[in-house]
Amino acid sequence: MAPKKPKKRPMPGKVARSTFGDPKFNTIVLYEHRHTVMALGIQFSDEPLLKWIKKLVPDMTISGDSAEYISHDQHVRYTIQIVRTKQEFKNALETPGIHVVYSGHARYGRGPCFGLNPANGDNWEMGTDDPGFINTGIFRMGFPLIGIPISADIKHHGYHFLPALSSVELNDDNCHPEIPLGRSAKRGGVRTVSIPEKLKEKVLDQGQPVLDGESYWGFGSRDMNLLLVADWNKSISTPMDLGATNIQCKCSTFLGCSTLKHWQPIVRGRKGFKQSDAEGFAYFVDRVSDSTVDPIWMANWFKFPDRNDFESWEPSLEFSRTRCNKTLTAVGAGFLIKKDL
Amino acid sequence: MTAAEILASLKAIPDGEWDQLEALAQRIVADARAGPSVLTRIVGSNQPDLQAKASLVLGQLEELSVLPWVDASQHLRGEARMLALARASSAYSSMAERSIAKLKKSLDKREVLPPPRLSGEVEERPPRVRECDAAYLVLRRWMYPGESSLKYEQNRSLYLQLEDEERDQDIIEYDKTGQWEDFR
Repeated sequence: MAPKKPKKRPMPGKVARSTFGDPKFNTIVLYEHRHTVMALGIQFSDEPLLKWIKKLVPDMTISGDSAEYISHDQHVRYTIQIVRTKQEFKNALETPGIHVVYSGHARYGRGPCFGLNPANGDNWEMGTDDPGFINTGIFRMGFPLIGIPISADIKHHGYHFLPALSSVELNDDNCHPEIPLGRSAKRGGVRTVSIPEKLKEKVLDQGQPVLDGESYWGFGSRDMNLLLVADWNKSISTPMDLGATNIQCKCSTFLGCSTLKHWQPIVRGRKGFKQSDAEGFAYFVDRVSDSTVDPIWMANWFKFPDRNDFESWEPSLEFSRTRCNKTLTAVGAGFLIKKDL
Repeated sequence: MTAAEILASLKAIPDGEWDQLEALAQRIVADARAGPSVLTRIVGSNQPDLQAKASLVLGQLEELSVLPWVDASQHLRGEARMLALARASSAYSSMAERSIAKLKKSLDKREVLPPPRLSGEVEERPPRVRECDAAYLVLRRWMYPGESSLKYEQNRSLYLQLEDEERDQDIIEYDKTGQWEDFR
């Protein structure tokens, strides 16, 4: 459906800048300022995202990690700031009136993950800036328990981790919806598993068995998944989690694999980040995705053709989403940007 | 527009020029709707000698008549209005039935489809999807509208976690019963 055309309204104000007695007359028209913080996750931190946007919007100016584009059609001045740490991402979410875009891995639903060094190790989980872990590692915003592939992720990245002990009761509330609770163990359903010997030294202290016969939860057939303690509230990374974050931004866009399934139920449902007429927009990705959509998302927002200063952002955001999705469908990318449910 | 004109326009438009692509689409739509829109105007007019004939021709247009019937209904009243909307609905259902029949034929095709065209670093490996899996999932989305988008995506992922033999069993079960399993 095409976005609604915003109603035109009188100019919000003009500022005369002529000096007294000057025969010339000039004015500055007050444009709305829309600021976006783009948080680049681990392995994406050195991507030239601003340059990619500029390819699509040649009039955009770049200065270091910042950019500016003025849409005279919209009467809007857009600015972008690139950030690369958990603390900066959290600060952005807590800033009223801005657009926050996360561009990076979803870490199978655990949360946005940051780190300038993408080498295998703890930047892919807890982080490496001990104590505090305020800059690197996962900003937790996922379900309490999440299944993580042992070979493709835990072994591959070689980080320390916190597995769910078999004494933890599993239920619909604490398990990620893709954990097959109702499936029999024979069909690859959830069952108790032991951790491969080589990985035992990577288990965090809180995950060490204390009871006799205690083991861990896992599922899968060919590709085994281990249930890790993730969580969005009072997590092992608090205050670097969504529970300890007072979301104030006007719009959040989570561009990572399957963020619709991973984070929409948390952001909207559990955290309660609600949308009103002009606030609280949230966009997610429905399936496995790549980063080619990130510049397109911003460029199309800038290209909205109608004046909409000091109006709701919804028509321009929906214009961008619709165009992005048409492009993604046309190139067979296999994923779409979803607004909400 | 002729086929040659469409081809020439497509070649002339540089990549990423959305405005030009949309303008081309609008021209094609305008051309395609010109004939049906004449017919709908006649159906909605006071020309009894032509109304029946126009209505008959519109009926022959099958799926192309869906929107024209809806448009025509705006100029009609009472029984004639309901009749136009019923014909729109019937043309739409007939189109849907044909697509569903094709999808059902794909339920026994085991060919593996190419993965999505993704570039760069992808963390979650896209699942392996066969033609029968894709058909099953499209049918599910279409014929199970009560399932929310989020729930559908969750069930889709859980289905694609299964081994081929288990997926096959679910497809057979659906074909037999018409019921959709909750994979959680």
